[in-house]
Amino acid sequence: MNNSTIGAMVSMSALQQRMDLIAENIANLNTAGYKSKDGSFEDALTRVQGQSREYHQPGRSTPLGYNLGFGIRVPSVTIDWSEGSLMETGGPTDLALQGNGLFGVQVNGGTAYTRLGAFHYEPDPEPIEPGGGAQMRLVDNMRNPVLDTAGEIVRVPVGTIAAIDETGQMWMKTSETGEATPGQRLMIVQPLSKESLKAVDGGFFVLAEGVTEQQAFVEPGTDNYRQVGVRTGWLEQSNVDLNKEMTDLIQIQRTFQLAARALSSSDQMAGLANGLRSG
Amino acid sequence: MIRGLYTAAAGMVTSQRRHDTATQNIANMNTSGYKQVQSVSHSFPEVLVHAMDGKGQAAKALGKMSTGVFAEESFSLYLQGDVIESGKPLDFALSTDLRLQDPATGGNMVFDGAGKHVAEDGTVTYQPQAFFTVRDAEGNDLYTRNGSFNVSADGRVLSAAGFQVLDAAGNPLTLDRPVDNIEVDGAGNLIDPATGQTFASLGITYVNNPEELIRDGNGVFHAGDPEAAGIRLVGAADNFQVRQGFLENSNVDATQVTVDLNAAFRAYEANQRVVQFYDSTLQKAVNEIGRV
Repeated sequence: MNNSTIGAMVSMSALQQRMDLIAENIANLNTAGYKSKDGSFEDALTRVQGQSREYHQPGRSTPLGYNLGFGIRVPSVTIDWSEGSLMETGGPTDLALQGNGLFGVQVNGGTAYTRLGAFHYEPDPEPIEPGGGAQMRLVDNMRNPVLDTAGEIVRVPVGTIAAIDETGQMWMKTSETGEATPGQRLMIVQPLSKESLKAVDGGFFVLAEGVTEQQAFVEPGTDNYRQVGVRTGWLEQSNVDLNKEMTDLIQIQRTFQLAARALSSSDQMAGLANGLRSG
Repeated sequence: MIRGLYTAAAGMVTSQRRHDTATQNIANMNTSGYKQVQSVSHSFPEVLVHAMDGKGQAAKALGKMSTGVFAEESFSLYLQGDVIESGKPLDFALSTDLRLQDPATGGNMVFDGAGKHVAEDGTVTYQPQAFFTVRDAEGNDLYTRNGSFNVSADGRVLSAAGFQVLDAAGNPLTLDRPVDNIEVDGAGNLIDPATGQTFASLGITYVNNPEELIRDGNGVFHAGDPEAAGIRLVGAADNFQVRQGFLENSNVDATQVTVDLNAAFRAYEANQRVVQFYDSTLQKAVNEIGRV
């Protein structure tokens, strides 16, 4: 195979990967809490063909060697962490985060992080301790328990009126007129570097391998910590920008077309070489 | 006569190289910071041709001819690419228009559309360019125009291909705070918006003659001869700007490369025809001359 064929083939598979990402983003246009994914291109491995000293002719402006490229690749997929627009739902347990923060949720026994705050209460399946009353626990829309700052499941006794304030603190009253008492505070972590998180399905993020919580998150109260606001009754929508995705799609598709054209052109050249001795 | 056969074969090989280059440019139409490659062909050195008449006389010179063509160099076109907004805090675009003093006039050198200046005595000068400085695992300094960076879990700033981004002092750039808490000014200084203090600067390299750089792939270049390339850090007097939240697009001209692709293909075809004509001439010589 000649260089053009390889280059065009490698490029077409990279362009296909990029188109898959666009398809994923467009599919999640209405997924609350979804963060759009982006992939940038890099030119793949370039081989510099050696040239001997005689190639250094007068008028040459570049060092010896002739560059041969082998198409492009998508080196990494990045997540766009910009905030999605907020939509009012009015639900007292629909929470939207403003600022660099993530809720902590217990998924399959481990801790996962999410921007999606579509929570609700459900009866706590844990056996009630002797002397204790029935309890409700706060769960997300996949029934994973929501965690508090200490990593415990957020629970409220049955029959109380509970509300969550802008800092994620829970307040409880036993009657409309009663005094509100503080309950648990929701876990809201602030990642130092987004690369310490890995996206898993369900809109969750988990710590990347080998990264500890101390390394990944900013300690509240330190200089680098920025206040994160919790808005009750709102949900963060997907941050996919359809205009951007469609523009990207057009560009990628046209490039794909041209690469396919280059491929068929180099194929015809191979045909010409084959036909050298047909006349 | 056979001489022409090899000339046409050399033409086919060269057209193939030009086709490869056009394919590479097409592939990189969406690669941030990519600089278009141009293939420059050169004719074989000319040889003096003599007539041979077989009568023992001194050979008579017929004249000069060159016997072929080869792809001599791949030339990078360092024109500014379009700067487009990406909105990410660690995406940077460099827009540069670096100036050189023209010794003939004392004013600024005027560069043409390809970033070249030809003086009256024929001296060619290329426009200087600025690059982000990155380092590979072996510790080699590399230069790139692709400013799509990210932060590793341990706070190191890496390029998209995983090279370590360097600061102005030539040390690996590391961040001790979330990327949302960083502002970058036009000179590449990283500023804490809360205090207004500069805590680091991006290492931006000035390359006096960018044509001395060698392309490595992955969007990076290295200097084979740093002295000849004229590498130094940018200074305050240099006309460049860093834009945070923007990326520099590829500077490939889609129309131009499509034309290049077709031209290379047709040149290949024409050379193939010439080879075929020689073949049929040879066939006549072998099979028909001397037939009784």
